[in-house]
Amino acid sequence: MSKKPISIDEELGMFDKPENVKRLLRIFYACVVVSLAIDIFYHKHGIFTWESFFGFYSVYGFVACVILVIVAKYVLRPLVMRKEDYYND
Amino acid sequence: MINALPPAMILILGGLLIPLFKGRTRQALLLLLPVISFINLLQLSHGSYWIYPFLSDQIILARVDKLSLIFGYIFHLVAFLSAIYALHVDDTVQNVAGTVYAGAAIGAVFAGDMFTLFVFWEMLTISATFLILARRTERALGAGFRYFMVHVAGGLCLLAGIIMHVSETGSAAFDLIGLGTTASWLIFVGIGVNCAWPFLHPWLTDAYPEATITGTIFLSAFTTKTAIYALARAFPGTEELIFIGGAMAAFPIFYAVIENDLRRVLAYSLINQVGFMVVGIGIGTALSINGAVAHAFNDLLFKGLLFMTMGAVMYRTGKINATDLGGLYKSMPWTCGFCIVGAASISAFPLFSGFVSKSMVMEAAAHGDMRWLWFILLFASAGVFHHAGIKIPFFAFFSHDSGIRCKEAPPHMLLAMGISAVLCILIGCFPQYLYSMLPYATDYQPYSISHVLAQSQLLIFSALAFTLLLLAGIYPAEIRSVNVDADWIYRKGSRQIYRFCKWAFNGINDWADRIFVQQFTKLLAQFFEDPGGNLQKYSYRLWVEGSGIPDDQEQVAKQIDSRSRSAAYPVGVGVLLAVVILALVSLLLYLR
Amino acid sequence: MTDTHEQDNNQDHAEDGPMILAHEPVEGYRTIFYICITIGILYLAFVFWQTW
Repeated sequence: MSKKPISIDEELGMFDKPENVKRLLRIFYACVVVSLAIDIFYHKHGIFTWESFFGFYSVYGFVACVILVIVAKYVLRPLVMRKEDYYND
Repeated sequence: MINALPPAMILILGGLLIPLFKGRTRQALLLLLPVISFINLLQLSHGSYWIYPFLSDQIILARVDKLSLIFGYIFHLVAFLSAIYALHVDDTVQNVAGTVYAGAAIGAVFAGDMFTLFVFWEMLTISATFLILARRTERALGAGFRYFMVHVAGGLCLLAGIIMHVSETGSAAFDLIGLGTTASWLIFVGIGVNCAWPFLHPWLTDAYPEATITGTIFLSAFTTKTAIYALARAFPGTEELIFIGGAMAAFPIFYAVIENDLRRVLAYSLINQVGFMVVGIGIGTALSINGAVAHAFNDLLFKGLLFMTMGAVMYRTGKINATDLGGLYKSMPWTCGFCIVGAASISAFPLFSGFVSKSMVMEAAAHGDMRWLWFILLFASAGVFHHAGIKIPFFAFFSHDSGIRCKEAPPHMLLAMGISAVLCILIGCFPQYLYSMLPYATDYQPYSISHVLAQSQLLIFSALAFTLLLLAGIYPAEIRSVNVDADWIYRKGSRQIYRFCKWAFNGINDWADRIFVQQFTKLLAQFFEDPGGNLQKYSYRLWVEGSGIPDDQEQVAKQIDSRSRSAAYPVGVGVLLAVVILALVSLLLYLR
Repeated sequence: MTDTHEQDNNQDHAEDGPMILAHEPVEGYRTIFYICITIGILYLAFVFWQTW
């Protein structure tokens, strides 16, 4: 491994350019909107009644992940995080 | 089955022969052993073979049916892929331990009786411990020691259960047991240790990230999946497993979000995936057990693939913490691509392998109207994408540029990762081949429009949550730290136990030392200094006190002392002792 | 300079490397996030109120 400061003349990678990242994000947001929009036209069949509600899976996925991160950050981390040498003393 | 050998034999015996070879020959042997063993396995048709009488029962080295065969196939495949990945390793300990470990797992899934199962079970523990110790760092030594202790305890629990079960039922056959008796509970928990149930799990997240780069690939495959096989064989439809599995699927993802060591993130997500399998076995319908087994099959491939990519990163950069990595997509584009395939598979994207097996378990839960379980599993599905699907590739290969510039992974590693990645996609696209190997016949169709749409929406919006959390600055920072888990009980709690034991047992020791060593022996020594005289003195004093006749005791005692010191007594010490012993002996004889 | 780090102890304390890697917020996204999560929770509550 070599760890050197990134020189300017080094060829920039695809994701080093901010405009590429922005483009990628835009494509992603388009996917988000499209995947939700499909629900207007296609009625999903599921075993539970709430599965066929508009956007149920989308909203559940979003809320689940936010709760996951918030709980992990604000509840679990204060409870369990210790210094790296916690077990070494 | 003519000329075939017991399934585990080739890998275990071959593994033990490895030290005799060097260089290219050894590499060839390491690659050939799983292949030969697989060809040997193909010779076996359904049935039980190699049955030998043992005590009042019999041992069965190979019980071949659909359930054991599918595990046998995938174990061989993973053993082969791991061997390719580990081709550069010229370390006899790892070469032998890895091969024997794979052989032990294969032996365990084909074991037809509990004694054979137990022997291979312990062999797994021992060989796995060497794969951890082979890292040869202080932390690895500690983790390996803890790994060994936990598994020995679990193994003893299993053994106790087996012995009780055999003596109760009179049969050692390893078949459906079901919960009920104490024996069955002991077996249940013994298997549970290897299955990484909540509170029994920290050996996994403790040891796997401390093992060698290639050792972790082997480790991630065999121990937990052997336990899944054992549960599917002995405890299908046990309701307790549903709760255990639900907890396993849910809690590790919280830890995975805040964990910095990327291999430890994968270890947590391994528990999460095993949770889905445990739930499937617990529900116990044909669909759910098929789902559990299929998911075990897929997990072996995609989890192995993810560990391989992280191993390759570690091999090239020497770092595995999210805080140290980032921006590697330029240096290791192929590894990055394979990692994304593994991430998509574990996240159950349509057309990737996780999709076709996880959904079986989900659907089985829905059919049983277990709505809370279903919500937990859906939560875990979204969460696994969050921490394994996005976090792993993002922090290793993208995110901020760590400034590390390294070479692409070596060709043999790329080959192993490539084969795994292709298999993940093939299984995802053509699941019917996997389904035909499952223990129950199935016509399950994962690719309905509703299902594909639902899963895509779930994952895309999970990704949206990640993006927004990251851009809003709410996503937790990566911090170099230790996250306390249930292993606190024996890593810190053991010090309290030690302190208590020190107080209690050293106290008893001090007391015993004072009474027996110092005081009692002193008295004895005083007495035997002059036993004849002392005996007379004490008897005389007793007689005086008893009879109540006042006398000049001091005078008499002095007389006795002087007489005995001048050896005026005809009876010596030896004779006195002889008389006492004879008296005791005759008394004992008389009493008898 | 070596290409491989097979036996490196990656968590060695002496090793340099950042202790913390924070994620800087981007202007405006926090508001978007709050709006999204509020709508999401309300909608989920509505769905379960309708179907449970």
